[in-house]
Amino acid sequence: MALILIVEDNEMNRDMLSRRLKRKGFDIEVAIDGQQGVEMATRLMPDLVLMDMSLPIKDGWAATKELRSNEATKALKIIALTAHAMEGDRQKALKAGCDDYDTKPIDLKRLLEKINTLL
Amino acid sequence: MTRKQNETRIDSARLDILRQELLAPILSVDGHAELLKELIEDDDCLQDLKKIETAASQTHTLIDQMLAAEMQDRSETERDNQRNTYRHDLRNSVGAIAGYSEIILEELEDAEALSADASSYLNHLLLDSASLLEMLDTLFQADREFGENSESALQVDIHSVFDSFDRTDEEASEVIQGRILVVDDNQSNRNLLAHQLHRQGHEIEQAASGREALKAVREKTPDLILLDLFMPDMNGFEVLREMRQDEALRSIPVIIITGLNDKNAAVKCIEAGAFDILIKPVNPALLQARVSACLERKAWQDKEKEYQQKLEASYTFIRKVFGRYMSDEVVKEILDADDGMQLGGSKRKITIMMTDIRGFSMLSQELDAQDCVKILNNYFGIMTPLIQKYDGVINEFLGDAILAIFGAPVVAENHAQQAVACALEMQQAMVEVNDNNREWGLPSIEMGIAVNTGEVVVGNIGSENRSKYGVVGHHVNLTARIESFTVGGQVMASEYTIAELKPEVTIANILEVDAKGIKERVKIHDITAIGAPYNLALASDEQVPQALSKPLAVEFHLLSGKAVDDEQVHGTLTAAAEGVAHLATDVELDVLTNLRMTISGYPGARDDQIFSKVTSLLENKDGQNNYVIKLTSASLDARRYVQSLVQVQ
Repeated sequence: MALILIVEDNEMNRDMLSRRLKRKGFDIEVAIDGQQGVEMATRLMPDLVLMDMSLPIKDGWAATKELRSNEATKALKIIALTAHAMEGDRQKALKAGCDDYDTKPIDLKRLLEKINTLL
Repeated sequence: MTRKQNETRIDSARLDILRQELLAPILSVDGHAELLKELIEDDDCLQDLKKIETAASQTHTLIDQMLAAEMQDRSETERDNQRNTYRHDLRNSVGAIAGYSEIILEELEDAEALSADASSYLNHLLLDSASLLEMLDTLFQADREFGENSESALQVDIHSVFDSFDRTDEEASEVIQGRILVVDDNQSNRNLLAHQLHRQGHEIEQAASGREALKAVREKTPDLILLDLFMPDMNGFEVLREMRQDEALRSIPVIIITGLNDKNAAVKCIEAGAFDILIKPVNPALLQARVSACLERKAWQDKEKEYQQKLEASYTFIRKVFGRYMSDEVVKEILDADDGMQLGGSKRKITIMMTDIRGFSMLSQELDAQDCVKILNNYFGIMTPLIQKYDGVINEFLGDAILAIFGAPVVAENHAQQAVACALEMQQAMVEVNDNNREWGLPSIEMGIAVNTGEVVVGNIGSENRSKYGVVGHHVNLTARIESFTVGGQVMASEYTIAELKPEVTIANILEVDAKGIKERVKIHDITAIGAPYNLALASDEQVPQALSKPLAVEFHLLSGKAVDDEQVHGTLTAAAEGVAHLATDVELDVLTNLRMTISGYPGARDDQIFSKVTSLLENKDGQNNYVIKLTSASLDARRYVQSLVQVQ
């Protein structure tokens, strides 16, 4: 079973996403800020990271950059989740090293497609 | 208003409208979540439902805050940063509504516990969140003026609304002022309201409690009451209820002013009769507008009451006027019913009554004018109400005669019996008439009444300038003819009337008379009583003629119609009573024959003519025919003279 790490500070978003993905058969782990996110990603080496971009302590961009700059984690699959949905955001996410990005609120079908493409 | 003020006003309005638009889906989410609570049993789902409610509440707050921030002065960077934050947070909270709705849907589906209603409601939640997201997207695409884009997106035309406001501002609106009672246990609240209202020109009274308020209201009625809900001794709601139950107080309008933003309380208060509810703190302009509206409404209600009273007075006046001609009931029927009155000519079967004071013409020559009128008015005064009592309509006063009709203009099935009963009661009333006459030292009078039934033409006869409600036809003439056969105290009804009668009548005599224009003779009936439901009977007032001390010689001529027979006949009066005598003569006379008599040997004999009518036959006596004659017309002197000859017993 694929392991997905969800890095999301908003409790409800976290709860929703993890429950729904669990029901789809994925193993889920969660981190609540950028710092924790980098730690857990490094430790667990999940199959996929769903990274919210606006996080406390260390935001998503910085966390992604850090993971990419690290040998161990540079190949991790990362999908950026952003609530901002402006044109610039997409470019920004890809430039930071994300493999894909999706906008919040989450359209589960759309997200699953992207997940399946990557996995 | 300055340009800047107007711009601010418009901006503020724009944001208010935006708020309404944005909050609409949230209110829908709240509503549907409530409904779902009743349908869902699973604990986990209920937890998720709670999260939806929390998310909705957060969304609501964010929208309020975001729009409030728009009204603040801030730099462009500040503005953009703030907008971004709100955007981010809103997408999260709205996303949570959608997300959890989907979770609940999936879980119920999996458990096969998804009812059609629950599915519908959950889908509504999804629709609401989607639509809200769309609106927010449109909103955030605006560059400078927040919501400028949204106007077209949301299809709201703010400017035209304000143009309309401006136009009404120009029309001066009258502020109605009145007496207002302010009720609140909190002194500052009371004072604030009192001052605000006083500035607007109203007369203010204050009360600090429910009981005080009721006392004040009963002492002097205010035009409007501003009532707080929460008061220690008696709360506003109880005050409302007590006022409602009191006839005198229930029409006073009440506006509840309360800090309690509870929809239930608002509903209860309005049901209890409050005119309106305002939530503290009350915007002064809004307060003025509501108070004005309330006072205006009350002013209209008072005017309406006034008009009603005036209308009543008119009706009463009309009734009084018509009442001189018809009974109250008839007038009421005509006024109330559209088709009850047919003034235009119509052929109708009615009953006609003619009354006549026998021998009045002679009497009027002997009395002076004042006494004449006194007798007549006394008589009419007593007879008129009686005719009205039986629903008769007096058509005409012809000198001393009355022509009345029964059965028109208001249709009445029982016109015949009403007329007969009326006639009988009128004869009974002659006792009162003559009691008055005697009291005044005036002669007693006698009345004969004829009643006939038949088809006549009734209607407004005349011209536009002068018309009257008249009756025309052969039966009217017949009634007059029957009248001529009556003697005082009699009620004579034609066979046609008798045929229409339902109650039983007592008939003393039936006679046949000639009627002009009819081949056969017409039967007329001397009615002395009528049965249920009237039960009226004439007192047999027939005084038995007493023997004269010595027979009085008389000469007489027979009258046929008005023509006097040439032949002079001799006879004697053998007995007499008031208005009645016994006549003995060789000649044979028919009943109802009219005689013109003079008394031989009576001073003034040549001049005094006594008119009488043969009413019945008596036994032959001493080889002569004996008749009872009734004096129909005789001078006072002659009557007294005859009376004086009555043998003193």
